[in-house]
Amino acid sequence: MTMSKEKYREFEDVVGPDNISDDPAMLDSYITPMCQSQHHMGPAYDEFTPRGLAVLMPGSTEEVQAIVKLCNKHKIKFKASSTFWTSRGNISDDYAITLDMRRMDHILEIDEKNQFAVIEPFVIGATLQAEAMKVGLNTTIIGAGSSCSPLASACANGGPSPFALYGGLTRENLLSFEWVMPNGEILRSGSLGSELGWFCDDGPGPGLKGVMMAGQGSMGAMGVFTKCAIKLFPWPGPDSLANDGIIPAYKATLPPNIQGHTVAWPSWEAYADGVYRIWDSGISGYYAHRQYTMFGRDLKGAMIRILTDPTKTIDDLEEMLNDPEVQRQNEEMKRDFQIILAGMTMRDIEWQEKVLDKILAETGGYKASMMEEPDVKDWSLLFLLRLGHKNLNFVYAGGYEGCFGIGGAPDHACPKVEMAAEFKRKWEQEHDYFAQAGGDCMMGGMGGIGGGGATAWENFTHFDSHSAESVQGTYDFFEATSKYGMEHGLGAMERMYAISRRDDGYARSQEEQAQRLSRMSQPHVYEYQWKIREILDPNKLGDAYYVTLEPKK
Amino acid sequence: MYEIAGVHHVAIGVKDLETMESFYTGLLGFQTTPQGSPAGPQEIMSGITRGVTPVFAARMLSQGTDAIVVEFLQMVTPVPRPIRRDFRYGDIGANKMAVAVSDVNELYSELKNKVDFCFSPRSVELPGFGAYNFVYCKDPEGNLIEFVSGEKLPTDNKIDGVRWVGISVTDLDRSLTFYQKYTGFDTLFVKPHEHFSGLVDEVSGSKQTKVRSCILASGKGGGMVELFEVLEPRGRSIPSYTMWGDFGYLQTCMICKNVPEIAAYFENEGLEILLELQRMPGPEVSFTYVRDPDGVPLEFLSFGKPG
Repeated sequence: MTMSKEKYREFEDVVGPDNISDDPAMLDSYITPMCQSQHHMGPAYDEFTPRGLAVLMPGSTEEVQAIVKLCNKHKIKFKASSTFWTSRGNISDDYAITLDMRRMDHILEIDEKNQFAVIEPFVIGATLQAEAMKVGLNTTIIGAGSSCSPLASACANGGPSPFALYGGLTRENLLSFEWVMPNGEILRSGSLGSELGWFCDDGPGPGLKGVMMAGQGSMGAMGVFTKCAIKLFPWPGPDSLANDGIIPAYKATLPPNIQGHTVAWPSWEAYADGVYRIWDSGISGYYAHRQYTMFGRDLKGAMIRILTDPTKTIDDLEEMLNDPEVQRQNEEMKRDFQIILAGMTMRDIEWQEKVLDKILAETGGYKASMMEEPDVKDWSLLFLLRLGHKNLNFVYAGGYEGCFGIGGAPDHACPKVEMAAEFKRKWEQEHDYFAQAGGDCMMGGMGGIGGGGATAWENFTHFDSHSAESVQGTYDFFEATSKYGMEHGLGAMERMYAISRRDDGYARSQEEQAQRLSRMSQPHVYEYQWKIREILDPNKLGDAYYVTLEPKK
Repeated sequence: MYEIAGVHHVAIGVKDLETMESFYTGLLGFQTTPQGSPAGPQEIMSGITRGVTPVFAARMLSQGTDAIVVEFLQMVTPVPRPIRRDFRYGDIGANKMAVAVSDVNELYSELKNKVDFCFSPRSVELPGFGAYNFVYCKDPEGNLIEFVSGEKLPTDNKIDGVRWVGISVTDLDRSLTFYQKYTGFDTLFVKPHEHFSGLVDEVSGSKQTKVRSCILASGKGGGMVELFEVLEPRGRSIPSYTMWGDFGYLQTCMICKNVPEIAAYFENEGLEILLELQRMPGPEVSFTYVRDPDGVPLEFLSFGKPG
């Protein structure tokens, strides 16, 4: 499927010849294999997202608007993406164009006094964080890592983050935004719409965030967000994360008012009590996340040793697993999470440490010894504060995906972790489809919203994306986890976006979506989204990530 | 001087030659012609399989002298795979054959328990054609076949051969211009229309399918081509990894005089050449492959000495 020369010229006139291409080789660099990480659809072998008609790189809001108007004129679907994290950022149809937003990469303003930044789509978390730290501020880095776009997270996703307990989800930090709606009109929200600056996201009357965001984020299916203001929060550390060490064992030596620990408990019940107590205590929980279990309960100690020792590689993993000391330390971290305390003063951090120690003592918890070693501690601080190691998700075999999806209050969710872990462990033992990591690769945030309230967990599954047998076996495993998860209240996030995209990489049809939604107990939200789309996207140029259900007549 | 005289054959990559041959000969009355070949290396085609010498068996089936020949190819090397896991009506490329029949309703009644029909027969009035009676079915490997009857489509037999090949395109106007200019189709047998909209929902998998189509013929005779643009829901491109010989419709072949001259013309016009001019050793057969604006493979074939 290709675009006619006449239509191509119309688009070319908008962005210039250097910023548009329909070269098949170029377009193939914008497709994503469906067997790597689909976050969260489950893998499918030998399938790719569509190539589309062309890719364009707009350089301004005006160019974006002109492109969207042309798309409406020719009924061509479009999707803008900044950093293309998983297939959600890719187009879902061949009769569609990709907007690669990399030319719009400016931090337009950092308002130090009022603690916000105004950014364009291709500003990534790492860049914003580095600039914010220079003025004593920080930004929420999402779980997908610092190479992702905060604007995309804030405007078109939820922005789940290990920093959420202290700094909020990225979507919670969204202030004013500029939005080229699917019909080609520009909307400037809140104070910006009244030419009063970027400080406020809404004006009087109903809020617009729900309209543009949809239930779980529109994932680029509802127009293009071209600028937004993001709320920042204090950073009591140095103005840059000076690092030393040798790759991959980079580490940051931070002042004593920034402390990182791995805290653990002997049972999930005690773990839940500890989380509640931390939330209630008022200590910062600047970062609170079960991070390193992404490597697996049985492997994480050895993996941390490898990552902090430049002389070691993953080939040393099996040998290191036989080390009794690594085994002991690994056992210590069986039910753990990572926490960073940030004191605004030395007195503050001393108080926070005392509170944490008291909570651990009273709930039977402790600080894991391996993670208190100075080198490991400094490595971990840099890892967690920057979240720049997303490549490690793929380290075992080239592919990964999360499954289950336990959410809720700690005393509800934490004990279920063991059920999910046991289910996976059994599959690991009975099959050879994915890495045997101990069943428990349950990553999770210890504070789904600012201040706490909920934990969220997903069980990483590491498969070989180049092996049809491994991919198919993992697909079958996810079929099983979906069923088990729904029956036992463990969630089924491995199929979360299967409502929007099929295994073959293409969009679900309206009929397919309706069939799936008809089984839901509360379909009304999707009926409202249908009505919103009818108004804002009458030509249906967004893809199926904006989930809709035609209301019954 | 070259001439192009319509479609000679349509090629389909198949998984099981015997099953397919049995379906087409046993149920639809096709006859196997002697032009097939057992499995063997075909060095001359290596340009189309990215340098690998393809090994395949071919079987040619036809119905009457004027009908389009159906060529089944069973690939051995490279190992074939499905072009797509599932079929959608609007998927770009050659994706159906239209078989003329004396009476669609009668045929449906006779075969409905033996053939996988997509729906029961329908009729629509097409300007300049009159009543167009049609029904779709799938062959044992899922390839789409349309049976058509109408006053403008006289037949000698109950099932009277493949009259046209359906090619799904992105932009009907663009493709119409291309096929008229380069493939010798100088006559609009059925002018562009949208009357099939809503009538092919079962094969498109969507309600209220919107489709524009036309049928092109050559004044010199031969098989025709139907071009159709499915506006809603849009189909999919031919996957970039598709290899000639994969399962499904592969190409449409035009019969010509003087392919060497055509090949030179296409090159001069800047068409995308898929396989450069080839001459068969021995018999005076030459052919070349090009792509249409959507990347759909088209073969141009001539027998005998260039005129």
